Amino acid sequence: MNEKVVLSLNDIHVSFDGNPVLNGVSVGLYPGEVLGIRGENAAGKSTLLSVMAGILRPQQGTRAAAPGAEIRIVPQDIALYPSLTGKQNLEFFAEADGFFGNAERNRVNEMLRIFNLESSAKKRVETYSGGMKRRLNMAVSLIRTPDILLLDEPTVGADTHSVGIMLGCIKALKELGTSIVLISHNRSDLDAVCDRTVELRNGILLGAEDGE
Amino acid sequence: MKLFACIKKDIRLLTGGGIKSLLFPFVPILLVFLMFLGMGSLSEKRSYIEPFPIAVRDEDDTILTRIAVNILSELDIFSEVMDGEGETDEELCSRGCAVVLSIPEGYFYDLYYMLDTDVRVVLNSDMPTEAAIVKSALLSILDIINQNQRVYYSAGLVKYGEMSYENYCTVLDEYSDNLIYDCLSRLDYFDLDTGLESSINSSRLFFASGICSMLLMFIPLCVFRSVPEEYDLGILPRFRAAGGSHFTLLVSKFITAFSVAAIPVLLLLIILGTGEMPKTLLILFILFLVSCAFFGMLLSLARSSARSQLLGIIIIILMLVLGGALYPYELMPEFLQSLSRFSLPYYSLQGMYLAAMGSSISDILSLLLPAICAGAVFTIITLLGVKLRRRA
Repeated sequence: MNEKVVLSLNDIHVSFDGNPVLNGVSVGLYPGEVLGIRGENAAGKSTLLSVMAGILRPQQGTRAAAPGAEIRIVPQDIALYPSLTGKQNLEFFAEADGFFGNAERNRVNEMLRIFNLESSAKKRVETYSGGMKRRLNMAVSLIRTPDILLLDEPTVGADTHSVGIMLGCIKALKELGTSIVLISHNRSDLDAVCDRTVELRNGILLGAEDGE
Repeated sequence: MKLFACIKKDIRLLTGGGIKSLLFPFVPILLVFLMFLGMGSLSEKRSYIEPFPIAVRDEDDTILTRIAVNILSELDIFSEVMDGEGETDEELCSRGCAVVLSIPEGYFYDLYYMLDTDVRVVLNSDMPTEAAIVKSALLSILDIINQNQRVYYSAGLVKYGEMSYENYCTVLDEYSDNLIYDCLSRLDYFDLDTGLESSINSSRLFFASGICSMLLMFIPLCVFRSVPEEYDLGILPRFRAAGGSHFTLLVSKFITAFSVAAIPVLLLLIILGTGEMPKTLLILFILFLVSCAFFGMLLSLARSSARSQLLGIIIIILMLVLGGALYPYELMPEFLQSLSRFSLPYYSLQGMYLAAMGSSISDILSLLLPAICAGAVFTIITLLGVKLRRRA
């Protein structure tokens, strides 16, 4: 692995039932960088993110992450318990992440404040609007500030207010030195926060573009 | 700590969290208690009948008939055994006797020599229940006498062929002894306390088994219902990213279901006092494992939490009906009785009966063997289902 990068993929091949999804993808993520990945539907973006997160093992190629790097993923699905309240969801993932007692309480309250969910903290997630669910979905992944954050279409279906909060949070994390991969097919979101953007087409990464 | 977080989350998913979580295990107990109070008094009413008087007209007037009358007067079910001498049947009935029994002259002589004898019994039509009880008891005793006579006479013929007077006396002696032992051993049937206690114990066991079966099925279903959303909504990958594992998620559900079910089940068994607590707990623990395996399988294969929950509830209701938890399965049609062996309440009820009767552990395990085997198969299918789901 290039010592400058915190996460690298080298010649990654993934196929499902014989259908190739990723064809020799190689990409590196630099410290404090926001890397945008765009592409059409079914281009393999979510698969690429799963490989980056280490959830999916490629059939060919290597993945390397900086030793001890905390990696968190914001999945495209709303990966929350609908019948629990927003606060209870945050508490569960905080405890799963090793926060207890005052540390847990402080961190949960901070997340609720940052994502503007304080007034809805005690409401069930199933009653949230699309934008609120998206914000909470992201907040849960940031309970522990990660070294690497992987976001899969975090703003899909969200209102302008929610998108603003989430993009603002991405910028703040970048300032803190977190390396971020942002998958989106919304060009304006990518342009707003990314240092560079690559396009995934038919399982192949095409070039790189400068971000903002 | 991750396991603790999962257990806390599962309890919240089950109960909604807060004060309700603490009350949750006690709600079923309260319902059971109220149900038992109401139904228990009904069962007592069904079993209980006030002792009533009868009259005996002893026309034989031998020491044997006087002993027989004395035995009758000691039975709890009869408040008084009146002497019917010098009064008509109508007069005795109008004085509140449920039955007027006339022992004919030479009755025990005829009985000893196996000769047919008529015993006159007048039933009081104003006391149909009491009269029916006595009639049933008398017919039962006369049947015993009749059958014993036939058996001994036949046995004597087989043993001796055409019987000499000595052989005939030997048969009569054996028959008389046996008749006395047989009748004496059946005196307990008339013991009201024993009958009532047995009836109440039986209804306690029925209630305890039925409610335990409900808890053992509903609680695992309610706890395991979040499995589909955890796998499909991406909660598992997120949890794994925080260093957790799917094993922790499943184990926490098992611990949660066990903890939530154990409290009401224990309280229920203590309140109802079904006896043989260790064996009963062993039976219920085995059935709890089978239930977890079954609902684990159902939910690991299910596409959505809501649909699998609905299916689970339908299955539970069917099992409760088939297994005899709501309605005695002995009273169901035969084809339904054969299906009851596929239901958890059947094993709960039969197992608890065996435990209450003091059967050995091996007998109980033999009864539960089909359920244990089914549980093993469910577990294997659950693990395969989880594996497939993780791959997907």
